[in-house]
Amino acid sequence: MDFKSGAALTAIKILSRGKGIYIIITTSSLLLYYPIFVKNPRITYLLVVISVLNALVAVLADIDTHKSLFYAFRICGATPSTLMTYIITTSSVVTLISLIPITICIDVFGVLTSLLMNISVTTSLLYMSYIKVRKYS
Amino acid sequence: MHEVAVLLRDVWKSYKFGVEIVNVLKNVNAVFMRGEVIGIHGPSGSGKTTLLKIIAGLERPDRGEVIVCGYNLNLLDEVGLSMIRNSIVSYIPQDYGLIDSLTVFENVELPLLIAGVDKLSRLRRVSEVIKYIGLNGKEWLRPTRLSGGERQRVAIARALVTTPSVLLADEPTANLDWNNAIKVMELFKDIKKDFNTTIVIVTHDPRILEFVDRSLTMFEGTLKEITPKTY
Repeated sequence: MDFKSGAALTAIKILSRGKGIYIIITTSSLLLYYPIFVKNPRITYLLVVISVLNALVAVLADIDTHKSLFYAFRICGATPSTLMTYIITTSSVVTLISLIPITICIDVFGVLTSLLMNISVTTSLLYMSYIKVRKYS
Repeated sequence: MHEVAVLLRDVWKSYKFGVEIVNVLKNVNAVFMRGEVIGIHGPSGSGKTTLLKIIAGLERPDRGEVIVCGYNLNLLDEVGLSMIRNSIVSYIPQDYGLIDSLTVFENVELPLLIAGVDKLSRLRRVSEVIKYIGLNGKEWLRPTRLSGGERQRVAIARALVTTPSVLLADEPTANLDWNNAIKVMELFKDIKKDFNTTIVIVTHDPRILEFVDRSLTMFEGTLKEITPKTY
Protein backbone atom coordinates (compact mmCIF):
# COMPACT_ATOMS: atom_id res chain seq x y z
CA MET A 1 0.00 0.00 0.00
CA ASP A 2 1.35 3.43 -0.96
CA PHE A 3 1.17 6.24 1.57
CA LYS A 4 -0.88 9.10 0.14
CA SER A 5 0.04 12.41 1.75
CA GLY A 6 -3.14 14.09 0.44
CA ALA A 7 -5.33 11.59 2.27
CA ALA A 8 -3.29 11.92 5.47
CA LEU A 9 -3.59 15.72 5.31
CA THR A 10 -7.36 15.46 4.80
CA ALA A 11 -7.63 13.05 7.75
CA ILE A 12 -5.82 15.53 10.03
CA LYS A 13 -8.07 18.40 8.84
CA ILE A 14 -11.24 16.39 9.40
CA LEU A 15 -10.08 15.24 12.85
CA SER A 16 -9.01 18.70 13.96
CA ARG A 17 -12.42 20.15 13.06
CA GLY A 18 -14.57 17.35 14.47
CA LYS A 19 -16.08 16.62 17.87
CA GLY A 20 -14.11 13.38 18.34
CA ILE A 21 -10.74 14.99 18.97
CA TYR A 22 -12.14 17.15 21.80
CA ILE A 23 -13.85 14.15 23.38
CA ILE A 24 -10.69 12.06 23.31
CA ILE A 25 -8.38 14.86 24.53
CA THR A 26 -10.74 15.70 27.40
CA THR A 27 -11.18 12.07 28.47
CA SER A 28 -7.47 11.31 28.20
CA SER A 29 -6.62 14.41 30.24
CA LEU A 30 -9.10 13.41 32.94
CA LEU A 31 -7.77 9.87 32.99
CA LEU A 32 -4.24 11.16 33.65
CA TYR A 33 -5.39 11.71 37.24
CA TYR A 34 -5.52 7.97 37.91
CA PRO A 35 -2.01 6.89 36.89
CA ILE A 36 -0.50 9.88 38.67
CA PHE A 37 -2.40 9.70 41.98
CA VAL A 38 -3.91 6.23 42.25
CA LYS A 39 -1.36 3.45 42.39
CA ASN A 40 -3.72 0.51 42.07
CA PRO A 41 -2.99 -2.10 39.39
CA ARG A 42 -6.69 -3.03 39.09
CA ILE A 43 -7.68 0.55 38.35
CA THR A 44 -4.80 1.03 35.94
CA TYR A 45 -5.87 -1.99 33.90
CA LEU A 46 -9.38 -0.58 33.81
CA LEU A 47 -7.77 2.29 31.93
CA VAL A 48 -7.08 -0.04 29.02
CA VAL A 49 -10.81 -0.73 28.66
CA ILE A 50 -11.69 2.94 29.04
CA SER A 51 -9.05 3.85 26.48
CA VAL A 52 -10.58 1.50 23.89
CA LEU A 53 -14.05 2.91 24.55
CA ASN A 54 -12.64 6.43 24.35
CA ALA A 55 -11.10 5.78 20.91
CA LEU A 56 -14.33 4.17 19.75
CA VAL A 57 -16.47 7.12 20.88
CA ALA A 58 -14.03 9.58 19.26
CA VAL A 59 -14.44 7.89 15.88
CA LEU A 60 -18.21 7.46 16.27
CA ALA A 61 -18.63 11.16 17.12
CA ASP A 62 -17.48 12.11 13.62
CA ILE A 63 -18.77 9.07 11.76
CA ASP A 64 -21.12 11.09 9.50
CA THR A 65 -18.23 13.28 8.39
CA HIS A 66 -16.06 10.21 7.75
CA LYS A 67 -18.90 8.69 5.70
CA SER A 68 -19.37 11.83 3.59
CA LEU A 69 -15.63 11.92 3.05
CA PHE A 70 -15.58 8.29 1.89
CA TYR A 71 -18.38 9.14 -0.53
CA ALA A 72 -16.56 12.24 -1.82
CA PHE A 73 -13.30 10.27 -2.07
CA ARG A 74 -15.04 7.61 -4.12
CA ILE A 75 -16.63 10.14 -6.49
CA CYS A 76 -13.33 12.01 -6.89
CA GLY A 77 -11.47 8.83 -7.81
CA ALA A 78 -9.58 7.87 -4.67
CA THR A 79 -7.73 4.59 -5.02
CA PRO A 80 -7.97 1.89 -2.31
CA SER A 81 -4.51 3.07 -1.09
CA THR A 82 -5.82 6.60 -0.58
CA LEU A 83 -8.79 5.33 1.42
CA MET A 84 -6.59 3.09 3.56
CA THR A 85 -4.17 5.97 4.22
CA TYR A 86 -7.11 8.06 5.44
CA ILE A 87 -8.40 5.26 7.68
CA ILE A 88 -4.98 4.45 9.15
CA THR A 89 -4.08 8.10 9.76
CA THR A 90 -7.39 8.72 11.56
CA SER A 91 -7.02 5.54 13.66
CA SER A 92 -3.39 6.29 14.52
CA VAL A 93 -4.06 9.83 15.74
CA VAL A 94 -7.06 8.74 17.83
CA THR A 95 -5.13 5.74 19.22
CA LEU A 96 -2.07 7.77 20.17
CA ILE A 97 -4.11 10.33 22.12
CA SER A 98 -6.12 7.62 23.87
CA LEU A 99 -2.87 5.88 24.92
CA ILE A 100 -1.37 8.83 26.80
CA PRO A 101 -2.73 7.87 30.27
CA ILE A 102 -1.79 4.22 29.76
CA THR A 103 1.84 4.84 28.81
CA ILE A 104 2.40 6.55 32.17
CA CYS A 105 1.45 3.65 34.41
CA ILE A 106 1.16 0.39 32.53
CA ASP A 107 4.02 -1.92 31.49
CA VAL A 108 5.22 -2.30 27.90
CA PHE A 109 3.03 -5.37 27.36
CA GLY A 110 -0.08 -3.47 28.48
CA VAL A 111 0.74 -0.50 26.28
CA LEU A 112 1.28 -2.73 23.24
CA THR A 113 -1.98 -4.61 23.92
CA SER A 114 -3.88 -1.32 24.16
CA LEU A 115 -2.20 -0.03 21.03
CA LEU A 116 -3.23 -3.09 19.05
CA MET A 117 -6.75 -3.12 20.48
CA ASN A 118 -7.38 0.60 19.88
CA ILE A 119 -5.99 0.64 16.39
CA SER A 120 -7.87 -2.50 15.35
CA VAL A 121 -11.18 -1.27 16.82
CA THR A 122 -10.98 2.17 15.15
CA THR A 123 -9.67 0.84 11.84
CA SER A 124 -12.40 -1.82 11.68
CA LEU A 125 -15.10 0.73 12.47
CA LEU A 126 -13.90 3.11 9.75
CA TYR A 127 -13.40 0.30 7.25
CA MET A 128 -16.93 -1.03 7.88
CA SER A 129 -18.30 2.48 7.33
CA TYR A 130 -16.40 2.67 4.06
CA ILE A 131 -17.80 -0.69 2.92
CA LYS A 132 -21.30 0.52 3.76
CA VAL A 133 -20.79 3.77 1.82
CA ARG A 134 -19.37 1.83 -1.12
CA LYS A 135 -22.33 -0.54 -1.12
CA TYR A 136 -24.97 2.18 -1.05
CA SER A 137 -23.36 4.80 -3.30
CA MET B 1 -14.75 14.46 -37.34
CA HIS B 2 -16.79 13.82 -34.19
CA GLU B 3 -15.13 11.97 -31.35
CA VAL B 4 -17.09 9.41 -29.34
CA ALA B 5 -16.94 10.19 -25.60
CA VAL B 6 -19.25 7.47 -24.25
CA LEU B 7 -20.39 4.28 -25.90
CA LEU B 8 -22.92 2.01 -24.21
CA ARG B 9 -23.57 -1.29 -25.87
CA ASP B 10 -26.22 -3.75 -24.70
CA VAL B 11 -25.93 -2.69 -21.03
CA TRP B 12 -27.95 -4.62 -18.47
CA LYS B 13 -28.06 -4.12 -14.72
CA SER B 14 -30.21 -5.75 -12.07
CA TYR B 15 -30.51 -5.50 -8.29
CA LYS B 16 -31.70 -8.08 -5.86
CA PHE B 17 -34.39 -6.91 -3.43
CA GLY B 18 -34.95 -9.82 -1.05
CA VAL B 19 -35.92 -12.71 -3.29
CA GLU B 20 -36.99 -10.48 -6.16
CA ILE B 21 -34.56 -9.50 -8.95
CA VAL B 22 -35.34 -6.15 -10.56
CA ASN B 23 -33.88 -5.27 -13.95
CA VAL B 24 -32.94 -1.61 -13.61
CA LEU B 25 -31.31 -1.29 -17.02
CA LYS B 26 -32.47 -3.36 -19.99
CA ASN B 27 -30.40 -3.47 -23.14
CA VAL B 28 -29.27 0.15 -23.03
CA ASN B 29 -27.48 1.35 -26.15
CA ALA B 30 -26.24 4.91 -26.64
CA VAL B 31 -23.47 7.03 -28.09
CA PHE B 32 -22.54 10.41 -26.60
CA MET B 33 -20.19 12.56 -28.65
CA ARG B 34 -17.43 14.89 -27.39
CA GLY B 35 -18.79 18.33 -26.57
CA GLU B 36 -22.46 17.31 -26.50
CA VAL B 37 -24.91 18.23 -23.74
CA ILE B 38 -27.27 15.31 -23.29
CA GLY B 39 -30.40 15.32 -21.19
CA ILE B 40 -31.85 12.06 -19.91
CA HIS B 41 -35.39 12.49 -18.72
CA GLY B 42 -37.48 9.96 -16.90
CA PRO B 43 -39.55 9.28 -13.79
CA SER B 44 -38.02 8.30 -10.45
CA GLY B 45 -36.85 4.70 -10.38
CA SER B 46 -36.47 4.44 -14.15
CA GLY B 47 -32.72 3.70 -13.90
CA LYS B 48 -31.26 7.13 -14.70
CA THR B 49 -28.94 7.33 -11.70
CA THR B 50 -27.79 3.73 -12.19
CA LEU B 51 -26.87 4.56 -15.77
CA LEU B 52 -24.80 7.56 -14.66
CA LYS B 53 -23.05 5.48 -12.00
CA ILE B 54 -22.18 2.84 -14.58
CA ILE B 55 -20.70 5.49 -16.91
CA ALA B 56 -18.75 6.91 -13.94
CA GLY B 57 -17.39 3.48 -13.07
CA LEU B 58 -19.06 3.57 -9.66
CA GLU B 59 -21.02 0.44 -10.55
CA ARG B 60 -20.38 -2.36 -12.98
CA PRO B 61 -22.99 -3.58 -15.46
CA ASP B 62 -24.15 -7.22 -15.33
CA ARG B 63 -23.76 -7.43 -19.06
CA GLY B 64 -22.72 -5.17 -21.93
CA GLU B 65 -19.90 -2.81 -22.76
CA VAL B 66 -19.21 0.67 -21.41
CA ILE B 67 -16.49 2.56 -23.25
CA VAL B 68 -15.54 6.01 -21.99
CA CYS B 69 -13.02 8.04 -24.00
CA GLY B 70 -11.65 4.82 -25.46
CA TYR B 71 -11.37 2.97 -22.12
CA ASN B 72 -13.45 -0.17 -21.81
CA LEU B 73 -14.54 0.05 -18.15
CA ASN B 74 -15.25 -3.69 -17.99
CA LEU B 75 -11.54 -4.38 -18.42
CA LEU B 76 -10.41 -2.06 -15.62
CA ASP B 77 -9.84 -3.07 -12.00
CA GLU B 78 -10.76 -0.89 -8.99
CA VAL B 79 -7.56 1.19 -9.29
CA GLY B 80 -8.16 1.73 -13.01
CA LEU B 81 -11.75 2.84 -12.40
CA SER B 82 -10.55 5.22 -9.68
CA MET B 83 -8.13 6.81 -12.12
CA ILE B 84 -10.92 7.20 -14.69
CA ARG B 85 -13.05 8.96 -12.06
CA ASN B 86 -10.13 11.17 -11.06
CA SER B 87 -9.14 12.32 -14.53
CA ILE B 88 -11.66 11.51 -17.28
CA VAL B 89 -15.17 11.35 -15.81
CA SER B 90 -16.62 13.52 -13.07
CA TYR B 91 -19.85 12.69 -11.32
CA ILE B 92 -22.00 15.22 -9.48
CA PRO B 93 -24.45 13.46 -7.16
CA GLN B 94 -27.91 14.80 -6.44
CA ASP B 95 -26.99 15.64 -2.84
CA TYR B 96 -23.77 17.36 -4.09
CA GLY B 97 -21.51 15.07 -1.99
CA LEU B 98 -19.73 17.98 -0.28
CA ILE B 99 -17.94 17.70 3.05
CA ASP B 100 -19.31 20.21 5.53
CA SER B 101 -16.21 20.35 7.72
CA LEU B 102 -14.03 21.41 4.80
CA THR B 103 -14.15 24.86 3.21
CA VAL B 104 -15.28 25.53 -0.36
CA PHE B 105 -11.62 25.71 -1.41
CA GLU B 106 -10.75 22.41 0.31
CA ASN B 107 -13.79 20.67 -1.20
CA VAL B 108 -12.81 21.78 -4.70
CA GLU B 109 -9.17 20.86 -4.01
CA LEU B 110 -10.00 17.25 -3.05
CA PRO B 111 -9.64 15.58 -6.51
CA LEU B 112 -6.25 17.32 -6.97
CA LEU B 113 -5.07 16.16 -3.53
CA ILE B 114 -6.05 12.63 -4.48
CA ALA B 115 -4.20 12.96 -7.80
CA GLY B 116 -1.06 14.05 -5.93
CA VAL B 117 -0.83 17.50 -7.56
CA ASP B 118 1.70 19.84 -5.86
CA LYS B 119 0.50 22.63 -3.56
CA LEU B 120 1.25 25.57 -5.86
CA SER B 121 -0.51 24.01 -8.86
CA ARG B 122 -3.47 23.11 -6.64
CA LEU B 123 -3.75 26.66 -5.38
CA ARG B 124 -3.62 28.07 -8.91
CA ARG B 125 -6.08 25.59 -10.42
CA VAL B 126 -8.63 25.78 -7.58
CA SER B 127 -8.56 29.59 -7.65
CA GLU B 128 -9.13 29.54 -11.43
CA VAL B 129 -12.11 27.20 -11.15
CA ILE B 130 -13.68 29.08 -8.23
CA LYS B 131 -13.40 32.30 -10.24
CA TYR B 132 -14.88 30.57 -13.31
CA ILE B 133 -17.97 29.37 -11.47
CA GLY B 134 -18.44 32.75 -9.80
CA LEU B 135 -17.78 31.94 -6.15
CA ASN B 136 -15.00 34.48 -5.61
CA GLY B 137 -14.76 35.62 -2.02
CA LYS B 138 -16.53 32.51 -0.72
CA GLU B 139 -13.52 30.18 -0.86
CA TRP B 140 -13.06 30.00 2.90
CA LEU B 141 -16.71 29.47 3.82
CA ARG B 142 -18.06 26.08 4.77
CA PRO B 143 -20.73 24.64 2.42
CA THR B 144 -23.31 24.91 5.22
CA ARG B 145 -23.09 28.70 4.92
CA LEU B 146 -23.99 28.65 1.22
CA SER B 147 -27.33 28.61 -0.60
CA GLY B 148 -28.52 25.57 -2.60
CA GLY B 149 -27.43 27.16 -5.88
CA GLU B 150 -23.99 27.97 -4.48
CA ARG B 151 -23.56 24.45 -3.11
CA GLN B 152 -24.41 23.10 -6.55
CA ARG B 153 -21.75 25.41 -8.03
CA VAL B 154 -19.17 24.10 -5.55
CA ALA B 155 -20.03 20.54 -6.62
CA ILE B 156 -19.64 21.60 -10.27
CA ALA B 157 -16.30 23.27 -9.47
CA ARG B 158 -15.04 20.10 -7.78
CA ALA B 159 -16.09 18.09 -10.81
CA LEU B 160 -14.43 20.57 -13.16
CA VAL B 161 -11.13 21.02 -11.35
CA THR B 162 -9.49 18.04 -13.07
CA THR B 163 -10.80 19.20 -16.51
CA PRO B 164 -12.68 15.96 -17.25
CA SER B 165 -13.82 14.93 -20.72
CA VAL B 166 -17.18 13.74 -19.42
CA LEU B 167 -19.30 15.44 -16.75
CA LEU B 168 -22.23 13.51 -15.29
CA ALA B 169 -24.82 15.45 -13.32
CA ASP B 170 -27.54 13.66 -11.38
CA GLU B 171 -30.63 15.89 -11.03
CA PRO B 172 -28.53 19.08 -10.83
CA THR B 173 -31.59 21.32 -10.56
CA ALA B 174 -33.78 19.17 -8.34
CA ASN B 175 -33.10 21.16 -5.16
CA LEU B 176 -33.12 24.59 -6.81
CA ASP B 177 -35.75 27.17 -7.67
CA TRP B 178 -36.28 27.87 -11.38
CA ASN B 179 -34.05 30.99 -11.47
CA ASN B 180 -31.12 29.10 -9.96
CA ALA B 181 -31.86 26.12 -12.20
CA ILE B 182 -31.50 28.35 -15.28
CA LYS B 183 -28.18 29.72 -13.95
CA VAL B 184 -26.84 26.19 -13.42
CA MET B 185 -27.93 25.11 -16.91
CA GLU B 186 -26.29 28.22 -18.41
CA LEU B 187 -23.12 27.29 -16.53
CA PHE B 188 -23.21 23.80 -18.10
CA LYS B 189 -23.54 25.41 -21.54
CA ASP B 190 -20.50 27.61 -20.82
CA ILE B 191 -18.52 24.58 -19.66
CA LYS B 192 -19.37 22.77 -22.89
CA LYS B 193 -18.31 25.80 -24.97
CA ASP B 194 -15.10 26.52 -23.04
CA PHE B 195 -13.82 22.99 -22.40
CA ASN B 196 -15.57 20.89 -25.08
CA THR B 197 -16.83 18.66 -22.26
CA THR B 198 -19.50 16.03 -22.82
CA ILE B 199 -22.19 16.72 -20.25
CA VAL B 200 -24.83 14.16 -19.36
CA ILE B 201 -27.67 15.55 -17.26
CA VAL B 202 -30.25 13.33 -15.67
CA THR B 203 -33.52 14.99 -14.72
CA HIS B 204 -37.16 14.39 -13.98
CA ASP B 205 -37.96 17.99 -14.99
CA PRO B 206 -38.85 18.20 -18.72
CA ARG B 207 -38.17 21.99 -18.75
CA ILE B 208 -34.44 21.27 -18.37
CA LEU B 209 -34.44 19.58 -21.80
CA GLU B 210 -34.73 23.04 -23.42
CA PHE B 211 -31.09 23.64 -22.48
CA VAL B 212 -29.56 20.45 -23.94
CA ASP B 213 -28.36 19.51 -27.42
CA ARG B 214 -29.96 16.10 -27.42
CA SER B 215 -32.58 14.50 -25.20
CA LEU B 216 -33.26 10.91 -24.34
CA THR B 217 -35.97 9.40 -22.26
CA MET B 218 -35.60 6.57 -19.82
CA PHE B 219 -38.56 4.46 -18.82
CA GLU B 220 -38.42 1.20 -16.86
CA GLY B 221 -34.76 0.66 -17.71
CA THR B 222 -34.89 1.35 -21.44
CA LEU B 223 -33.41 4.39 -23.14
CA LYS B 224 -35.02 6.06 -26.15
CA GLU B 225 -34.04 9.06 -28.24
CA ILE B 226 -36.34 12.11 -28.15
CA THR B 227 -34.24 14.57 -30.14
CA PRO B 228 -32.55 13.00 -33.17
CA LYS B 229 -28.78 13.07 -33.53
CA THR B 230 -27.54 16.14 -35.36
CA TYR B 231 -24.14 14.75 -36.42
